[in-house]
Amino acid sequence: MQASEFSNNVIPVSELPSLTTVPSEPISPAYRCLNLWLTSGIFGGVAAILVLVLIQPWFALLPPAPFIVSLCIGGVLFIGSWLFLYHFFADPLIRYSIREQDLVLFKGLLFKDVICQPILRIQHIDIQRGPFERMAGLATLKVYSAGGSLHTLAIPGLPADTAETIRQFVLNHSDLTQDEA
Amino acid sequence: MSESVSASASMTEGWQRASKWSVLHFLFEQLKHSVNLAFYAVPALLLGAHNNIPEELMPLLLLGLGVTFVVSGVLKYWFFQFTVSKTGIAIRSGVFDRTYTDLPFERIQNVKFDQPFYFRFNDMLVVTLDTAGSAKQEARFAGVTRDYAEAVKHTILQARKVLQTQAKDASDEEAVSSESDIADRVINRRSIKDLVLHGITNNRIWILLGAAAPFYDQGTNWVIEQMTALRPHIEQWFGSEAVTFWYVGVMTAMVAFGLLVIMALLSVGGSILMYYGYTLSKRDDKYIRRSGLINRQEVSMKHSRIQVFRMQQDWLDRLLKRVNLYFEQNVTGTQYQPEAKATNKLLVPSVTVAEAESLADDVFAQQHARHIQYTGAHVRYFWRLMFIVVLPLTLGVGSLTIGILGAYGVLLTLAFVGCASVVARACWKRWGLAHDDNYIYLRKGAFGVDYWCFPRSKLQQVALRTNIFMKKRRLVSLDLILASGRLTMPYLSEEVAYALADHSLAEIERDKPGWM
Repeated sequence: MQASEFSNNVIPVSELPSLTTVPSEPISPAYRCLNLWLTSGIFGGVAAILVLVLIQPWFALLPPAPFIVSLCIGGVLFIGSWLFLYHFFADPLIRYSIREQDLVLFKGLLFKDVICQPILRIQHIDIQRGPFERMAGLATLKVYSAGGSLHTLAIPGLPADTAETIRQFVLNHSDLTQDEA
Repeated sequence: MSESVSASASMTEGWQRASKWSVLHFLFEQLKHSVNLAFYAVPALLLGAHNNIPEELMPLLLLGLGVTFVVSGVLKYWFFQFTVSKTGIAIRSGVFDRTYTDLPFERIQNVKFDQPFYFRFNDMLVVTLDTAGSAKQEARFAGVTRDYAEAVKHTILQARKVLQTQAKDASDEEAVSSESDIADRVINRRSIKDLVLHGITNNRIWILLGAAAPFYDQGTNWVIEQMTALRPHIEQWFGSEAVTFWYVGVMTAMVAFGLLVIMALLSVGGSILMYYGYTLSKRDDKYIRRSGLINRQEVSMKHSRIQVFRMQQDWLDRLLKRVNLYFEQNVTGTQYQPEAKATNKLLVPSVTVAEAESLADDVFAQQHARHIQYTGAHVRYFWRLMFIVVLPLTLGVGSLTIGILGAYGVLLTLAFVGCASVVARACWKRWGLAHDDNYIYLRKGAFGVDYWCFPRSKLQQVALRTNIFMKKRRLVSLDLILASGRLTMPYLSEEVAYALADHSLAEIERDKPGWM
């Protein structure tokens, strides 16, 4: 497994493995693609429907209605384009690394997060694949600790087989059964 | 539950029923449920539905309701069956919806005793068995005698210990079992005076606010009546234009003062209601809290399960030199619970600083939460507060006061900015993080102060968060995630935060300490 190339099994304090210098891998580029398509599709679709409502010839909209609908179209397009831009720039920044003892996730465009989950503390792990993710051959790996559902470490946009490999690596890890009381 | 079942390992395989007294419990549960439902029904009833029900049918209706309750209580009792095996407890319950719950002993996290008021006269208990899993996976036995409850608890603890030490010799188990017979040792008591102090310093008003709602109207009516009665005298003495000022002034003062007094009284009442006869005791490796005026409650928490302690002091607590000490355990799987019922938090209300210190030492030996040197947050945290919170508020207050009062508004706005800045500065100054070989400490608050302390080995996850502005200054916020929740230290320098994260992670991953 490529993951075990990274070791953090060092004991001298001066040589402690540091989160600042962890080499990391990007998630699948298909994740950004998927998000961009979804954003364009959903917001574009809603906007298109609203435009159709506005220009259809069958019934006349009473005075304030056309204005409100146009406002909605503007709002939908505005939010959609911001989301598009966000995914365009932020998705490539999602990176992860699997170390011998923990999983690390890097993400964020304006707010940058580094989250480290020791394998010893993992309660359970699962792979989630929505319909669109399945279409794109992607999967989200979710790692649950006792810290509660708010602090679930989720690595999105992994190729399905990579996600499965990581899951197996974690499940086979010797530490996993240790914590169960 | 029949006494003869005294919890031994040789439990019968057959299904048995709980004590007949549990009918009482089911009855009151049903009643509570109906009262909750009634809240929704009241508006409908007020809107005229009651006009459709003839007056003379009302008693019949109520009687019918009562009979339904009793019948449903008895049915629930009849269909509640359980069996205890060597490995766990299984329960069948429900009249129409039959549910089957299987609780292996090792999954039972907590054994909680409650004594609702309707069991006080015969000193019976409701035993709740909590599991770590979902909130639905819990079992409640009502109408249990104290001795039997203790026996059940003993069986469960015993079974868990046996399971844990299965690999070891039988002689070991022997030792374990004799050990757990030691009686409780009370390590803290709270007197009425303490509870009064607790009521004053901690606003428990919301508990009783709901109950008092019908009386507000009467209260204000009374005040207005008095005012009107006095009105002629005032007019006589000061002239009619003074009356308006008098009304407004006196009303404001009275309402403010009255509310303060009422709130304090209610709060004291709430505190006594919840914590009357408070004892914190220790038995083996468990802390047990018992308290309550009407409903006696017992919550126990295993020492090793305690993730973090928190010494909380509001500004009033600091003046009175009191501390609220919380022990917190894991929250996974439990939904939000009101404070009095929460099993994941154990509160020792309004203890003195010295008592808090000694209790904290008992939980985490050699902690230095109150004496260690803390690393503060960067000054940019203060500026962030000023920018994000104080500035928008000032703009709001400024436009409002200047708009209404003109030039005088400027003075008010300035005063507001002054006060807000002082609060922001106090907030910023209070933040602090420290660590020693065993523990990590966090300090926060504004005029009050909260100390948090947890063993480094209890960490579940670490997150370092920053944004583009902080990144330039090499600052990060450090999230330390424990099984009891998240603790955050904002605006630390990158070196400090990463060093602490790296060290703590390495320690955990190397030594593999348990957290439960």
